[in-house]
Amino acid sequence: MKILVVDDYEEKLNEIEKFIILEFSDFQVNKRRSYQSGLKEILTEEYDLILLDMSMPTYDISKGEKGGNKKPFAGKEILRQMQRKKIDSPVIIITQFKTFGEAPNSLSINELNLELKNFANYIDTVIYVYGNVMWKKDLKKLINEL
Amino acid sequence: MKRKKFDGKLVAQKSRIANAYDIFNEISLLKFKVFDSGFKSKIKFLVKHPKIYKAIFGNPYPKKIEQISGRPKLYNTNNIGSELVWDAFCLDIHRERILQFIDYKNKYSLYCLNGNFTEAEKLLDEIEDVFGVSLWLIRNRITIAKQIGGIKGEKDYTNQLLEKEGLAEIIGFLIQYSSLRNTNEISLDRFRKYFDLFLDKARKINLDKELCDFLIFEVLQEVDESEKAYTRISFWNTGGGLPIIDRYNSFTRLFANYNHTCFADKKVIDKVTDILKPFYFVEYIGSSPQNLTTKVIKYYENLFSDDLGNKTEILEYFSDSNNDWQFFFLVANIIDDEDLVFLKDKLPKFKYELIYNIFNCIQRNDKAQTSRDELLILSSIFVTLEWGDKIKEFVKKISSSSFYHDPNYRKTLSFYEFDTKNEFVINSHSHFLRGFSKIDFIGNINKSIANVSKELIPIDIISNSSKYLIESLINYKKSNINLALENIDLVSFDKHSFLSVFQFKLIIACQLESKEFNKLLNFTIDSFLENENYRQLIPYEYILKTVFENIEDLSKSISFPIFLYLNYQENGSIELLKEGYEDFMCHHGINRPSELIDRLVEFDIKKAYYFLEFVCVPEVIEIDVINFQSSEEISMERISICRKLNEIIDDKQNIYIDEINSLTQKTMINASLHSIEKSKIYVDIEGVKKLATSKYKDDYSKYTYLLETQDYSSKTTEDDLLTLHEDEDEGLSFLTPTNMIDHQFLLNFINIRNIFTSNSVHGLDVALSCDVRHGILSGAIRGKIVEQNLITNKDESEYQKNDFWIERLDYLEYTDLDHITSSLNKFSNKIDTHIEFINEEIMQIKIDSTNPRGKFDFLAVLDERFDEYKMRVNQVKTFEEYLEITIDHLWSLTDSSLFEIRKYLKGDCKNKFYQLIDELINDLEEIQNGNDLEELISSIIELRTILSTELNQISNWFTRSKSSNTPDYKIPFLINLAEVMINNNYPDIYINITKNINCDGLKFKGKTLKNLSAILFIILTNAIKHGKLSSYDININVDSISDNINFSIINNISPEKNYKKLSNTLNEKIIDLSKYVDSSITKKEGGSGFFKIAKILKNDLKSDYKLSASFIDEKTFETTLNINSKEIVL
Repeated sequence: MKILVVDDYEEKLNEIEKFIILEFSDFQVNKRRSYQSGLKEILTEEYDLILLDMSMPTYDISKGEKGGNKKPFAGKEILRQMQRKKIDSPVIIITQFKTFGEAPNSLSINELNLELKNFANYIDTVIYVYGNVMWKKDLKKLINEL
Repeated sequence: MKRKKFDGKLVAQKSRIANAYDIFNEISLLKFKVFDSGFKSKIKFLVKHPKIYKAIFGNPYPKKIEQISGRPKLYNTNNIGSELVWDAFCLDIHRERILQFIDYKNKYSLYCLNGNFTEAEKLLDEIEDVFGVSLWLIRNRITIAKQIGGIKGEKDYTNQLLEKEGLAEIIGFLIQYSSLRNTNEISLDRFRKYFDLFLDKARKINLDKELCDFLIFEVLQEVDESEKAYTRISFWNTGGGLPIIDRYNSFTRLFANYNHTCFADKKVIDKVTDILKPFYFVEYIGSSPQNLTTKVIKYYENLFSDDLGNKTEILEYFSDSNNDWQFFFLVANIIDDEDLVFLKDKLPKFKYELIYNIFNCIQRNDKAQTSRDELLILSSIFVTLEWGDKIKEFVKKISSSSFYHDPNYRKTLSFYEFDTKNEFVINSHSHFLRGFSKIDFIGNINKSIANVSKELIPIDIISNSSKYLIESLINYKKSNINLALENIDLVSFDKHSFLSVFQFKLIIACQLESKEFNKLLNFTIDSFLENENYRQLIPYEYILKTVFENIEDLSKSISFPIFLYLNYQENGSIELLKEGYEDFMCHHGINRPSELIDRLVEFDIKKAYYFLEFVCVPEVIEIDVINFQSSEEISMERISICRKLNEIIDDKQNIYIDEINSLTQKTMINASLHSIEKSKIYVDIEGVKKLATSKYKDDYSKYTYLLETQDYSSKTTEDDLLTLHEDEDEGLSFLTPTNMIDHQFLLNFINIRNIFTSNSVHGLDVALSCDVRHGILSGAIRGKIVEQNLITNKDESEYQKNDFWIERLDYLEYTDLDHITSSLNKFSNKIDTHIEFINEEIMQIKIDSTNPRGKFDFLAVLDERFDEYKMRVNQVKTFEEYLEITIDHLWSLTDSSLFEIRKYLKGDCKNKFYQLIDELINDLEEIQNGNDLEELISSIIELRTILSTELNQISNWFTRSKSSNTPDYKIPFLINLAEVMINNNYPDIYINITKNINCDGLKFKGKTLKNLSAILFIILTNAIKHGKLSSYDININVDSISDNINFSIINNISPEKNYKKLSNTLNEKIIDLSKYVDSSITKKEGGSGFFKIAKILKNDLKSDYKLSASFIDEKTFETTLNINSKEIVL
């Protein structure tokens, strides 16, 4: 199974990768760190599963690149673009937050979840908590159910 | 008795809303989720809870004026239709009271119309007793006060209210407005001035857009013809805070306006009418169109009977008329009873009676709300009759009276203005057509419209164009779209007259109806490109809603992305625009917009230019993730587009050149920042070599002499080295060997090492001090935490309260707020302590074993590298060779230290920040209702990611500098760069920099950019660190006289600062900065940074300078810097 993880938080990205390799030894994990590089990868490569963070910078942050605008709903935007381009790889959102964006346009995780359900390939959201194992159980369960 | 079915979902919803921390948000969500038909039961059920009732209704019967001022928080408004239905159900809850109010108001109108103002005033007292205060009440009180006591009476009343309320509240606004409106002699210009001034004030005190829209609506009773604007105002009505009387008044006016708009939905109209029947439309609309027409015609006949006035006199006024619209304009602009009262003294009796009778021509119970619509209808019909051409003179007289100059009417007038040269015609047409569509609404039956039109339309005095338009409208309403389009074709389309506005709207409506979407888009964009004002007339949402299913077909047309751009400008929806752009590019197989230039022949040239100029901007083209992979690529593409447009389009060259310059400068600033930030590690090797040669060449000779003369068999073993003791004389705490040769070897090494690491001019520590410890590292880390609003500054001994979160969480209990304040202050303290630790314990050079601070470890000599170094040294003969090898070795030690620092920043340091973040979260979780803190907690969690990225970035500073070729530059670029740097470091502080550069042609050597930008950064940092303000106005003046460049940086400073004490300290410091050189004071952290500036100027830039700083007055501080430019300019 080929999995793509898109997340700008290096430690989280590595932990997810480590966890997947440990739990599903035959999985191949690719990583991307921004909306642009994530979406580009999705548009050019086929994946069996995509794990997306919700809030990300537009571009990969590197020397000389500050990342462009921060996109509070990058995950949702990627899902929207996937729908437009008719890419139906299943998507799991894996986030640390319970609210997104800034008032008055902020959304709680439940509200966002409701909106995401409009995308046919959206599976569910997993809450990632640093140092907690719950997210691992949730993610494992979702992957096994695929 | 039948038991009511238990609705668990509803109860759960009520509980959820009642317990929500943001009740408006919850209610908005509810409106989204529940279908309109479910509103009634939901509202009835929900408002039983006091908190919800308060959120929806505020205080519907406020006893004090101050209770009116509460304002709703506007979240997630739905569409206008849904809002109106919700609104109607809300009003329905107060049905009995509203009916009672209508009775009162009718009575009040009668008193007014009969001139019985004392009774009217008494009635207002009674209304106040029963319903409390309201905007309506105050406006009428002002009118009555003026009728009874003249201008003085009115002023007394309004002054009394203004004193009580001030200008900041809604009520103050309305008082001001009503007062001005009732002033006899006020000129149009003066009124406008006052009105604008007041709106400006309203905006300055942070009245949000919604409230301003609402106030303008209250005053002018008009609203932008966009669904969004209607929705906002309607939401204001439903959001709580207005008395029920005002809510009812606003609603009825808004609803009446809504009926004329292109997005009026028959279902919504029917539903609202149905809900409000008992007290709103029934008497008004209850009569059929046929009855209405009959009444009007009958009245019309009566109007000129002998009973009503002197027919001859009227006819005399009406004779010789060829403009049938002006009288209509007059009557159509009568808004309510107040206006009639106003007109009474202004007009001769018979004219007044004429208007009075028109005004009262239909039996109405609710005059104030419906009169205008009725007049519109009546007037529309009235004007279309052949009598219309006889009223010109009459209106001429009226228009020269002061009534015409009343600002309210002028404002209403300007709402429709399109071509000011012909304003009467414009407005008359506008009202006429609005009135006509009202007939349609009332009639609701196409047949009736046809009857009305048959009887009333075909009149010679109406121009052919108007006639065709009206016929076209009728055909459109009758769904004869082809006929409607045929009629329209007969109208000569003049893009600058009023008729074309209506024609434009009608063509769009017909094309939508006939599904001619491509034609529709082309027509819309063609018209817009001819006359930009058309953008206001495009019904964006309506078009989008209709064409949505055909978006794929439309994507090939270049008009579509332009349409989406106009929609974005109007409604802020950039996603659709981006996708429209991408679809268009994809459809035509174009990768980059700049490629389109070579294919211009394939497109309408005007549209293609517009597309390139406005649609192909960085925010839009970023959607193409395949072709553009960084901000820089996007900027370069835009520059390329502008360059090509600049070559083609002559009349806009300045615009494109400005954009190219701005983008180029932005790119250069980013590149420069990158170059400045990419490494903070440098040593002035040439300086080190020079100093080492002058001081220690002899010591090297001593070593070579010892080496040649001593017995080599007694070479130092590792054991010997382990018995080394501290050489305290050197004060270096370095280990020295017992063996003479090794002793000399080590001593030589120590001496050079110390220049390399710690020399205050050439050494590594200067870089660490200036570019890392002197606020740069703390600025980078702290800046990110400040952006999340999670850290505050220390005031004396305590951290400031975190106002951002306290204000945001003001619905919490005081004890919880105290807890949050304490937690955040603790967090601020811990963060600052950790940053201090990094500066003091990590970013230091370790050369002293008694004070082993710092990760730049130059103590270690007992490793393989030192042996290797020693072997290499022993193989060379000259001091120069020895020096090269020694410096090489020192770089090797530096590299190891840099590796350790990077490891520390990405590891232990990051973990420590994580630990502090976790402690803060744990601390906050002690607050019981954790759900209330979700936004705060999210912000804290986000900080973890942000700091992780930032520390990774910071770790890049700790690599060795490689020389980079910074291009030569001019002064404006330098100042812009410093501005970006200071803004990046102080994101929470508003810094307004004004530049006055009198030597912008002067070109500087590229290699000086880093140093000069560092100097300006230090001066600006001083201004902010010592200014103690939250916003700064800084003036940077630069001029050049012969070989000198003078910088003057003037900033404001808090008047609370003890400036006398500061002045003295400054004077002591700036007596003679040249003394600093080679002094350890350069390395001192904090303070003014002046010695660092001196060091940069003297040693790095090798330039003479003069630096001074002083207070201009208690609130203004100036730093001046005069630099000899010989070494730095080209």
